[in-house]
Amino acid sequence: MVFSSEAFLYVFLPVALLAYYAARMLPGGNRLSHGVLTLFSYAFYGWANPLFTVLMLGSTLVDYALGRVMVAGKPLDVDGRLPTLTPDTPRTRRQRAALFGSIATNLGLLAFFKYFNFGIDTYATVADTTGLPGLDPSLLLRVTLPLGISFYTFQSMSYSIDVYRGHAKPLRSFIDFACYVSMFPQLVAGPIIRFSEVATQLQQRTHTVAKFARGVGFFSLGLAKKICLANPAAEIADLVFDAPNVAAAEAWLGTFAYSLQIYFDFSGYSDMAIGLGLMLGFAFPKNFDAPYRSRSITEFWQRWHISLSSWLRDYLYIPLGGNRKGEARTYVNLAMVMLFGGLWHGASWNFVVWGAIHGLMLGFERAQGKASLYRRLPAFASVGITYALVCFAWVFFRAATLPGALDHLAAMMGQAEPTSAAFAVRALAWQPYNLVMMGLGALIVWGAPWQVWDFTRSLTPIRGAVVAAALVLALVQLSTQSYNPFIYFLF
Amino acid sequence: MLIDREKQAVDEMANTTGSPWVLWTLTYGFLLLLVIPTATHLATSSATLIRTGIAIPKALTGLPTGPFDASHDTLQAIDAFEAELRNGSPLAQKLRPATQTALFRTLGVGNAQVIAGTDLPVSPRVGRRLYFRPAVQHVMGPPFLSQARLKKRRREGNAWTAAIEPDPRPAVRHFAEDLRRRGVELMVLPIPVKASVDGTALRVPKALRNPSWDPFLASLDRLGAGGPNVLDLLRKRKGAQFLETDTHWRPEAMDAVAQIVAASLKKRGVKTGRRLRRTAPVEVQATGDLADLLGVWPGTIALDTVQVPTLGSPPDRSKATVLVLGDSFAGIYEDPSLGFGDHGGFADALAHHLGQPVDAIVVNAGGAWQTRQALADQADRLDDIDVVVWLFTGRELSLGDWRDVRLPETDAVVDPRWVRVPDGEAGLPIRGTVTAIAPTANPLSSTYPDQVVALSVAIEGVPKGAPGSVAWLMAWGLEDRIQQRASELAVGDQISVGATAFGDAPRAALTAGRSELPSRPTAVPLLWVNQWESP
Repeated sequence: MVFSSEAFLYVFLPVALLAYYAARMLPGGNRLSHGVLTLFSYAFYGWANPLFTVLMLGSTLVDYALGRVMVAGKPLDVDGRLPTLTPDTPRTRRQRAALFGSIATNLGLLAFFKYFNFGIDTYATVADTTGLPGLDPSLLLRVTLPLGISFYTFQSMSYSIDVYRGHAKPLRSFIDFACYVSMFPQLVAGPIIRFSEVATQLQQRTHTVAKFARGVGFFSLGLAKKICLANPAAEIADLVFDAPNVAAAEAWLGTFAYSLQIYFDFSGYSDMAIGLGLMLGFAFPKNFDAPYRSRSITEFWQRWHISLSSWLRDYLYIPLGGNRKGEARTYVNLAMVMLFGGLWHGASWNFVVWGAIHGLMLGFERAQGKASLYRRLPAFASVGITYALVCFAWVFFRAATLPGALDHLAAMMGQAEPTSAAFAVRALAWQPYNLVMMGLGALIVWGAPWQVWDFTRSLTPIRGAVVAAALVLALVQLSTQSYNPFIYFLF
Repeated sequence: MLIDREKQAVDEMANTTGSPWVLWTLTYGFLLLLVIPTATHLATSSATLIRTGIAIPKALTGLPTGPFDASHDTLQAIDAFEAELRNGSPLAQKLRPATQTALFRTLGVGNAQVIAGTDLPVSPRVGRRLYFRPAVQHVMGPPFLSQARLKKRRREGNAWTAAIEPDPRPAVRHFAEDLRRRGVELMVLPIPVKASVDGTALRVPKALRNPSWDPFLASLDRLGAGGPNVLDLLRKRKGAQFLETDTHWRPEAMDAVAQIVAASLKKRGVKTGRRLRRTAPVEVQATGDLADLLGVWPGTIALDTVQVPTLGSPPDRSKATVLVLGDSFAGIYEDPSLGFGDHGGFADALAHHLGQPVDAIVVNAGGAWQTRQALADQADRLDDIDVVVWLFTGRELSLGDWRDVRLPETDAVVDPRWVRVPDGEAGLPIRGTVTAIAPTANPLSSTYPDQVVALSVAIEGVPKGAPGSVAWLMAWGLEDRIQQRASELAVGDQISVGATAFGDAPRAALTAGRSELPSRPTAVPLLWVNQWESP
């Protein structure tokens, strides 16, 4: 189920909110509401395929049990909660084994469901070119990628790691833990909510009309971003990237459209997730911070998909040694993190190349140090160069294949021989509606004085009217469009 | 323990300000906006919404015993519920055409199915050429025979949806072999899509064609199954060859193609005679299928007007030596459900030019495999046939499922108990449990307004595996874009229906698009549900 679907908006969400608040009014309301939320989240997840819920339940059970194993035998806290492990005490073999079990289970699931097909296809390609014995396709299993597995395995893993490190108390209640892992606002496309980021709120949080109304603001503006800006941009991007040999102008337009699509699609989803969280009393951290206004790739990663970049920093880069083990090791660590980040997005060489480009750029900027090339340029130039580099990498992210990405880059350089299809792309891409929407998108990205986060802080009557207008516009436009899933559902 | 990001978020949210009336208005306004559509839906047509909703948990109950089947059935039930929510909502029914009309008139915006051409300024009641988006994607998209494309399309099938066969070449080869074994020749005629022929509204300077188009035609020639080059012929003709608001060709374009096909058949030695006499053409005005799919207010788009020639006296098709196997390109002007009358389609045009009767099996939207399946179900139609002319829309080459359908070695043996019954009677009673049912198309996005769906039923009281234990039925799933009884069924439902041989079904059902069951064997008697018993 996607947020921008009638089933979610007109049936699931009102019923879920009603049941949630009804549960809160009953005795034991906090736990009960978590139970209700978990049930609805499983229904939300099972909407894509009921069998996926079995997988999520299995993963949840394993991590919950291993969290309990880590503190087994330790006395409960005075408030009856499980104890936090002391950060400085050496861990026992049992605790290390539990952590290993959790990481192995989650990464194993991810590896199997996400990378099995990739491995088989890569082997088949190598076998084709080298003459190695091929694989009989009829005997091979084709694995279906469960929705959002990259997100919930990372969340679940963060629980075990936080408990192991002594950064969070393990949960005694399975319902609370299942609620954390499965919470529908951020289940299938993030933001990745680390356990330590919501641990306290799971125990206690407030529900106020201000929070709910701000949630409405986040949700409405996020929905408008998705329906009114990301979807039209997607139409242009699909048109251009699916056609062979387009002319340079259309190749640039397609790349620009894709950069807007992925930004509005994903940041719109994050806004909606944050909004829904607020309606349920949770405050989720910021996930986007005007990334296309970054003055360097380093800064871009501090503003783009912050929940992923900070997860990778804290759970991969720093454990690998970060920048504490010398210059050479720092570069290796950076490259590894970005390659892993690329592969996290999808099982394809395109994502590896995308990660490698960002890794190289991060390394390059680090080598430049304080006297970085960017720092000496005026803001508009460094923002422009950074955006161009990001777009260059997006080509690999969007193209269906590596040769397809190279062809598109060649087209951007005017090196492609336009076919008759290129003329049709020209006629269809430069339609007034597309230009209006692209212009509006660009204005919001580079010209808007506020982001959703700031805009909803003070809900004045005018801002309230803007939120309401955005919601109505999005719902009206939604009525004419067909189903259009979020890009990050695929990761 | 709070860490920075959580604390930052919690502090930030705690600092939300606004006057109470703004906060409460936003909260209640939001909830009202979400509740009103479903409330009005329930108030006007609660039965369908509730029934489709209840089908979801009902399908889920099968999970413990057969997880994969139950999961598939649940997804089908979810699709039906979402379709009802989207299409049945009275608010959406008002809002959708109004919004689409405004977007189309002011900015020339199409929708997920339709692309508005750029040929004329948009104004009320002014023609503007419309294109079927999947067809445009076919000609502009990657080569349909490239290994990468074939591999990608094969992968689209998974545990939940049946895998498709994207390569048309093996299907054509096997079909030609099967026909040859019966002494019948094959001529394959892929019909180019509108964007290839009338591409002016897309500002295309030369014939827009998929890069695999010519190699595919060459492969047909090598196989001895090639026909005249329809794309070249239509491109050379003056004026529009396709209807402005419809996916199909104009009658004069169809006639021109029939003429060169007849000439080609003559060269192959097919028996010919004097041209069959035609009456004066009949003028037909209609709204095309693309205008329907665009979903704008009636009157926003000008009607298409055509002159359709008609044969003076319909020839006796049972004496034909040529059989046309085709999709809606063969059915247009002959099948009234396509909106342009029943004055004579491609088969009649071909009969006129050949001077001989021509038989036809037409299944709308079934070019890739359903027409072959329909022929396999009634292979006795081949008895006196010398040549099969198989035409289908070119977009099927990029989008169709080219599954292997083999013609039976012998004709179907009809179970004597499944007898034909006269029209108007209830027919053979069938009572049992639905074991499989093909999905019904979304009424809004279905290319055609009608669709029949296949279902299999385990007959009550007949042991599993015994002869006659399974009945294979066809029934209306969609009629005039309205979901019918079969679309509401789920696996496990008990049904009691009256049925007759599918060959005796109404003509509209025989030519309607089909949603088939991949598991259905060929050469089994196929029945038509002509009466539903009330539950």
